[in-house]
Amino acid sequence: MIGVLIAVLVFAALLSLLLSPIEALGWWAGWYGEGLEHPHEQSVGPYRPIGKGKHPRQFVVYLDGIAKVGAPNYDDVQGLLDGLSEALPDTVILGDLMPYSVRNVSLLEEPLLGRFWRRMFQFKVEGRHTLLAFSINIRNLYQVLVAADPRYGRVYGRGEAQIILTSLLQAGYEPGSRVPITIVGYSGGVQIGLAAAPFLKRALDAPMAMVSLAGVMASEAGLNVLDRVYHLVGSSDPFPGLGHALFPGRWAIMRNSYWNRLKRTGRLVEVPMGPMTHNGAGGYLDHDAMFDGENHQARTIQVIAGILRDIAMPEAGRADVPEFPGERHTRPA
Amino acid sequence: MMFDFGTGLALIRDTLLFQPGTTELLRLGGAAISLAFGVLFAAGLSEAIGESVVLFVNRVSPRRFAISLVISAIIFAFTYLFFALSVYVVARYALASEAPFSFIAGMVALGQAPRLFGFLVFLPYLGLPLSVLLWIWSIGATVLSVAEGLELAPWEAVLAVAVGALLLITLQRTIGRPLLLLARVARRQAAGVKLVTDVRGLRDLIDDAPDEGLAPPKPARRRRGGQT
Repeated sequence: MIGVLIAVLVFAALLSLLLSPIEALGWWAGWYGEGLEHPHEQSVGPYRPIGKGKHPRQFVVYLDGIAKVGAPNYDDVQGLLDGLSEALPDTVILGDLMPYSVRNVSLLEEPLLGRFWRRMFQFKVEGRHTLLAFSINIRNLYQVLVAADPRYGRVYGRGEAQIILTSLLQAGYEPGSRVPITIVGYSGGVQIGLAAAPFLKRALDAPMAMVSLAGVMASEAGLNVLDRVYHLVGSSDPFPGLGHALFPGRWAIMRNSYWNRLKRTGRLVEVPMGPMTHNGAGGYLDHDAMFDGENHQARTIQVIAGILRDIAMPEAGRADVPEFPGERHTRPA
Repeated sequence: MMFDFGTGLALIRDTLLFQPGTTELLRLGGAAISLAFGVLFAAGLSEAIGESVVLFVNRVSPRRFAISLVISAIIFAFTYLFFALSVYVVARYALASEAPFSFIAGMVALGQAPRLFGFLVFLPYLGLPLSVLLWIWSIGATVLSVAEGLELAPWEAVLAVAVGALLLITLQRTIGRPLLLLARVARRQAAGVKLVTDVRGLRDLIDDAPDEGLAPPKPARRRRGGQT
């Protein structure tokens, strides 16, 4: 009986992995009846730019980790975004995007599996049936793999860039203004942001940077268009290291990879975050766990806000990059 | 000769596992040869599914997509029949084998059984290394089958398959050009669009294709006569 169950689970996991590129490719091929210039109309409604109405000196696009189901954020993520908005009065933050759908369709509103995902989301929020609820993470992890695949990544990046661009324009971004855009990605969200970055750069020609909160990413062409990448990693978090091991382009021997070129040109800033885990209790967004007299969430907000402040107002801040305890700034050889 | 579904499956399984004895049934001809050609077509269809990203990127409609897969499978089958013909020529004239063409074609066709898993090449990230693995697997199955069927030493079988492949490539680039052109026309007709298949062309399609959304709005140009 257990053998049959395992076989069914493996089959289901393999089948969903096999079908995972269909959404991005189908969107590109026009199979969903949408034009390339429009994300799905459902995606237009829930945009709630945080801090809209500010006179922005910077736009921040937040791409959440693989537990994301749609526009609404989990409490800890919303806490991060609200904290950043408070700390940065001149910054507009877009935190409602669904990075794991090139059509920005919430899992909860998917026509075929919406009911299933609603149930899984309920389990996740209530902390019940954690293994079953993890299917959301697996589904989104597959989209990260799609974005990292050289055959599909370009299509994925273009779709995601379209969503981000639409979102930026709706939030009041003025093309040609050269107001800096910073992508803050959490875990797999970093890979999605990297896939979209070249298209965003081409469309807006604005200064662009990336804050990678425990990012799991491949060596992507998107790294080439970023002015700087800030890679925040906790010492108790194995996942960013796992990403490093799984994507050969990030190995030191691949000397000409985008990742190694990023390091060589001194555009990578590695920021140790102390003993933080990837997520949940003890994670970057946990406001109960304490480190150095400060809760994890507050510290993460403080570190990211420092980086963003420096990007928005380099003349007012430090001359180069923000400094944090133990920071390693990779310099050109 | 007829054989049941189970025997057919066993023949495919033994080919996949490099088990000896698969050529014995092929030697009898009839249903075994038909099964081998069935495997060849199914492998072609599976591989076409695995590589269907090309059709997606070319923005082929769902109906055309399905037709294109079938056309690709037919072209795949014909390509391997020509490959079998090359191996037959090498076996006959270089290795003095008396084996009939249908037998060699059956062996080459059945040797493509690993490519029945070609649809897995569609898997994100894992698909590309998998395609290399499937290619090596099918070469191995073909070489073993040819070695057993033609009673050749392993190196002779490798030579027959390698020279056969070389001969096929040479023919494709010389007198086979009209056939290649025909295949290209068939693919294009099935897809209903000018099919781009090379990596750079596909990349350009994504980078340069309709750009209304991603291009920043341009200020309206003033024209003569005061019109904007």
